[in-house]
Amino acid sequence: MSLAAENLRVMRGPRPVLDGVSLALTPGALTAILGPNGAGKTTLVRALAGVLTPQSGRVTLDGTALAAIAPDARAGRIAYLPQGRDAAWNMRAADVVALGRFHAQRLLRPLSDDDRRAIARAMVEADVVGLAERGVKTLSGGEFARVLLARALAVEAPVMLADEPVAGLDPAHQLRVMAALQARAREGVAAAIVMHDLTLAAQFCDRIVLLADGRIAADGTPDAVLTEEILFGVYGVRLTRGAGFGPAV
Amino acid sequence: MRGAGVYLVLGLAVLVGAALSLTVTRSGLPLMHDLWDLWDTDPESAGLILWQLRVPRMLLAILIGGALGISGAALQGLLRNPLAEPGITGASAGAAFCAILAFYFGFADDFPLALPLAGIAGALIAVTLLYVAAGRGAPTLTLILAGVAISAIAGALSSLALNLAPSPYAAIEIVFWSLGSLTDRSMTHVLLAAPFIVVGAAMILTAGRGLDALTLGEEAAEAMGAHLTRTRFLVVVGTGLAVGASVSVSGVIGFIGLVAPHLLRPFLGHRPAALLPASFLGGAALLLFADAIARYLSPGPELKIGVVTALVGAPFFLWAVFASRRDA
Repeated sequence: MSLAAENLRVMRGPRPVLDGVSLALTPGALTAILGPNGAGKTTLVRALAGVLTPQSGRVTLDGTALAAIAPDARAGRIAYLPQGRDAAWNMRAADVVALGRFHAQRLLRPLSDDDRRAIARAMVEADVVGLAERGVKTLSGGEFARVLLARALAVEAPVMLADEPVAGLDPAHQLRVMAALQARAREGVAAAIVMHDLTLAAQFCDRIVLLADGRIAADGTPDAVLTEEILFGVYGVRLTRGAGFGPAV
Repeated sequence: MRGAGVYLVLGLAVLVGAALSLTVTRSGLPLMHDLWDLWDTDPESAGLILWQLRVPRMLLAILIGGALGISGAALQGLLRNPLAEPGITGASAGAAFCAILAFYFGFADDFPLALPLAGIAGALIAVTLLYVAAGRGAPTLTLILAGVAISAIAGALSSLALNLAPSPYAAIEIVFWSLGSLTDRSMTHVLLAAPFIVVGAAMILTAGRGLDALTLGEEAAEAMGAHLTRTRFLVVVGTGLAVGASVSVSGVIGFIGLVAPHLLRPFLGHRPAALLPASFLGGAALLLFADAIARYLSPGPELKIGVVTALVGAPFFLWAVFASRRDA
């Protein structure tokens, strides 16, 4: 299933946050959306997820306009992990992950075997099995972030969008989560994640979309995009690629 | 199923409360045997007391306590705030004002349904105003301030109606009514309020899933496939129906909607949907007990149940404010 944005334009006040962005996410690829703060990364994934309506341009899922798809049908096809990490109630982590099956459930119908399998798998991938019985308000920021990621993974949608899924995670969990997302992509999911870590992006992602000032500054394989010149043009600092990315000396 | 034990306990509590409600009198503890004695000598009067006074009162305590409990749980879920409640959000005050108007202009005498309908209109206006003013996921402070403002407006208008009351007797009648009481209500009151409360509670129950999704915020809920517009409509109209009909029959009974969900939440895994039916039962049990206690403790004139719930509930509210400050 492929998700495509055509010529998106989103205004905040008089200023365009996204200005003519076109992008197609194809099955089987893990895409990193990179860019400086304020470049429009979050706005782009929100528009792709269908929770924000662009002023012009449109988002289509296999050719059908996203706006024309019913919320529960859309929710089963696009899993979206928003940036905001906030729970109003101290629900058990396992119950929060189970919300990932919301689209498949109806009033008074208990979880199906399929739902349970998806939930169990997502909890392993995000390494939250040990947190299952804990109230989410008692978790640390990183632990809660993993629970929310598991919620999004439990959707088992053919398209997955995640806004900073590895922010706030320890290095071991960053690697584990990136590997899990990469594995999902290998299974045929079209996945895009907003992130800041160039090293992780280069290591795990098949494609890099670099945003700057609401436009796509570069789009291609990590080798093609993460060059010293392009990064200098976007971030304004000289970064070279060694074992990871660091300031050029 | 998790929570089954909680429902068992709540069901028992409602049964015990109902039994107390039928038997406790001002002059002492279970005076059912008085009624038994009366039954032997004068079965007709005994039947009258039971069916005309005790049973309607018990049914109203269950319906109104339940309506307040489930409405509190629903408003808390929708506004994502544990301090939301029909009284604090101004819904009760709005319903009271419109019901007073119905009294005042005598609509209620000619057309009995005018009372619950007016109450419902008032509660609906108040909840809608609150929702528009405080918005979704508003900080606690905004929510409470908006509720205070709405209550103040409704209170001011009610005072105006009292001020302009044609006779002091009418004014006193209105004041006593608005204190909140289940005394001397008849089966007519039960039949007036029950359909609206049942429909309102059913609407709220169908919104439960949406409230679960809202736990993670509006954006996440929408991405999960929740129909937020529908959820909001169901909660706002459902609480309007349930609270409006309750207040129009009993006057303002505060804090049941705050206390019931608050006490039950930890036992139901903090899940908003599971909390809804539990809060109905919990609210019903609380009001049954509060009513029985108020009747038993009354020294001279009977204590108004609204006064009792406020005396217990307001300090609880203050404690909840402190607790929420500690969490933040």
